Amino acid sequence: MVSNDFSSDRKRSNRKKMSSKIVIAGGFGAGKTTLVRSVSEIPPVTTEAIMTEASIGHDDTSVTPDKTTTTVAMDFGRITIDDELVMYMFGTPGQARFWFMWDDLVRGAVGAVVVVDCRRLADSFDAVDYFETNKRIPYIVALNRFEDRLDYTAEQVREALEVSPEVPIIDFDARQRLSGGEVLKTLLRYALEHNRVGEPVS
Amino acid sequence: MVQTLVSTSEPGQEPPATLMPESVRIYRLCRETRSLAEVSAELNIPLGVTQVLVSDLAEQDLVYIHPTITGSSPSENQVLERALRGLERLFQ
Repeated sequence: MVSNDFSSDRKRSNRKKMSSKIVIAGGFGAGKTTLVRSVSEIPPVTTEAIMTEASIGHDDTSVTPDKTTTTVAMDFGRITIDDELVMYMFGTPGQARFWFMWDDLVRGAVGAVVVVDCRRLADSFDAVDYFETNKRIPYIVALNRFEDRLDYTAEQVREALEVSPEVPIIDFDARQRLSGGEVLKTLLRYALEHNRVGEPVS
Repeated sequence: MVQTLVSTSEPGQEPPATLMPESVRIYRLCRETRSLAEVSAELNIPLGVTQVLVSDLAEQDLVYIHPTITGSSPSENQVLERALRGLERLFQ
């Protein structure tokens, strides 16, 4: 039947669709959501993840396992690259107490962007420290220009946040679509370079 | 993973009557391919729960789980390059 052929054709072409993900990290108010909003083709969506943290000092076999659950909001946006490839950006809470959630989020990501507000460098230290320590995925640092100025040079930021010499640091304006797109391109170029050099990423 | 795309295996079919209401909603929603994160947000079901329901549906072959690109192996460079070219086209 014609309609069946059509639907199985559609199914096959549909099945070729693949997705990838970029993690957007950084301190509170650094511009993560603004970046996602400016590059996403859809308004940023928030989803809730219920996270369970086992509390320290109790074993799992106890009758009432002592666990605390936290609800964490995650923002995400989408870019359709072509008919078969979709890229998602996920913004995560930046503080170290959410690291348990980052492990999950970072798994399978193409790379990460740490958004830094130069007026509050210290707020981004946790995020940089996470990616420097784990070395699981390539990351870059993006300095968000507030009021069109930067208080520090990229090299001063590198030193202050202890960013490895090979990690790109660029400045951008999170409100500008093209500027945000430049950040994503920089990350992908770096990820490709990373693969060519054959550095262990796992 | 949160970015994993899901689509209903036989979009033209009605969901089996034995499915739970939440699973029926996922089945219907995924007639158009979307990510786990989108399913979770649109149906207002927490991510972890969505993950479990979707993998149960996949086990019964009711939904198809699409491959994801992690870029962590050089064999995926072609796709990464395609993504980069796409971004260059979209943000020029």
